[in-house]
Amino acid sequence: MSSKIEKTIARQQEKVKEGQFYEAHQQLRVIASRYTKSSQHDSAIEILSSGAQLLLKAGQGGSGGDLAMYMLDVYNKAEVKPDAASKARILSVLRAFPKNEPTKKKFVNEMIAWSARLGEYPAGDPELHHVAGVLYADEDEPYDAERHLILGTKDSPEYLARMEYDWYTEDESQTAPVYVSRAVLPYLLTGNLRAANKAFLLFTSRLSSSTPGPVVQEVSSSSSDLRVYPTLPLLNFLGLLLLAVQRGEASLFRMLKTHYAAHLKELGGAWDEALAQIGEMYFGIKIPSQSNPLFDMMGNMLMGGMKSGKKDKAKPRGANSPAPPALD
Amino acid sequence: MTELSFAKQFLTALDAKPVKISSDNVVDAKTYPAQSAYILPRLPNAKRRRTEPATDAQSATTDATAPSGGLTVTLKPMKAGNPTITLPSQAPTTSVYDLKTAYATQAGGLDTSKIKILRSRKPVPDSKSLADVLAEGGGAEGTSEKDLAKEIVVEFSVMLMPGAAAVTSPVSEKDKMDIDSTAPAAPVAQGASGVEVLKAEEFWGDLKGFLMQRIRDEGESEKLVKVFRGAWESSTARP
Repeated sequence: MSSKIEKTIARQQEKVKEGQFYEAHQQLRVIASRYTKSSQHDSAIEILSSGAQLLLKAGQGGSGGDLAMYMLDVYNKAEVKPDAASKARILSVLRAFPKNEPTKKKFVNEMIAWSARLGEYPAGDPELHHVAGVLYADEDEPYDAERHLILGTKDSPEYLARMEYDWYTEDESQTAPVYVSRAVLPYLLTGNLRAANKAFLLFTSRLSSSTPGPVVQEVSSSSSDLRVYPTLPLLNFLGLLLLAVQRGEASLFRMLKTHYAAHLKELGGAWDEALAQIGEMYFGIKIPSQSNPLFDMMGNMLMGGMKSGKKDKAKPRGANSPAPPALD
Repeated sequence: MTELSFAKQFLTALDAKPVKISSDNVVDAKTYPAQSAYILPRLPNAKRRRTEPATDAQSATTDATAPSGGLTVTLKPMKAGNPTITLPSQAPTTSVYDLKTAYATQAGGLDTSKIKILRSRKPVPDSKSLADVLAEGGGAEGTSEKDLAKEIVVEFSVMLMPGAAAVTSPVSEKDKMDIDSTAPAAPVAQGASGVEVLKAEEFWGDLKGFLMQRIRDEGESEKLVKVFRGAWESSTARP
């Protein structure tokens, strides 16, 4: 950081300390825009990230959030690529936001959009998703936390399982399957079997060690071990589903759906869409009319990779389905 | 049919089919389409908002947030000769990347990308904050609370990859000499080659660095280096 910028920031820091938030905000904005106009993007970013953090840490979500958004503007304008340094800077600003600050959501969305536009991940950078998700979980914003942790890193399932479990403890004991499914099914839909299994395992271990825990019975076969919960049928459904997707056999999936039909009905359709997609992605059971590009593509990848050509798969979705080599 | 007997029947049916995708399969995130994640429909039961302080898992975090103490971070190099650096009163939001930058600057202009920060012998990703690290490792080695000051000391190891000292920077002459005398990459960079390289300690240090980065386990890397080195030495000892 050049000494000139350091001095500017030190001066604004004094202003913030004295409570002159409006003035500091305006001046930082003016200085930053002067730098951007003369294409000194690095300097503008320095000023904006330091300035945003000063204001955010002083509890000034509005003005701090404004500078934070401005910083992302400059990132986009200067086509800054997502790398260790540029992401770290964004995350420092993100972490400086006061809890439940309304402007934060916009910042998170913009930061993901930036990483998607200039980085290698079309759905947004996993590390950024992970940190955003963890922060949302900490603020008890479960839906936002889910949306980001589902696309996060390999650490994400742990945080998601923890959040869903904590949420579950606020509800009736027989609702456990509903909460763990919120991690398991979306992970399956993103083709992340590892995360789905990890979240299920973490959630159910915590459940089993709770007091009074549910009744558990152990079942083993030559290739699988399973804990059966006689009082929580849908939890068994999920456990068996996780095993079935590895085999990709439509008959197994149908068997599950038939046996648990009554219980699934009790959910009021909450899992229907996800299960239909899972049926198509992993078991080749075509959904008559649907056009969700995510599921289409994931389905192609999984089915293509597995070379499964069962009868119920009406016709291969030819045009756009070269089996990508990236499956493993 | 009971849950147990259905499960048994299902597992038998399962065993008859081959495994097509392994249980730890992950589709490459770079191939995800550009859209947000699917989540299940909203639940009638809204999540309760915790009031500060947060729940058990976060207690370390809240302690750390207490304005009184702040966190003191110690960055200890794994190789003797590099400076140990202490960073007093760090905010819990300080990221590992911030620690790297601080170490790089204070140790005299090292290359941030060549520094690894380790906790309990495992590399910590840049994006983690001190609060995250504390919440995970609650009570793990390397954290101590000084009785009265209510100050939490967090200890990390620092690993310098080859070439870390390559960035020249305007440091004072004295600092510079310190770096030069300890820089792991210096002799290699000057171009020893062949067997000479293998005879130098630096090579094995570098190899260990690479293995650590790749395997992410210090014990295992150390073991491997010993195996490699032992094998190489015995192969040269014999005619």
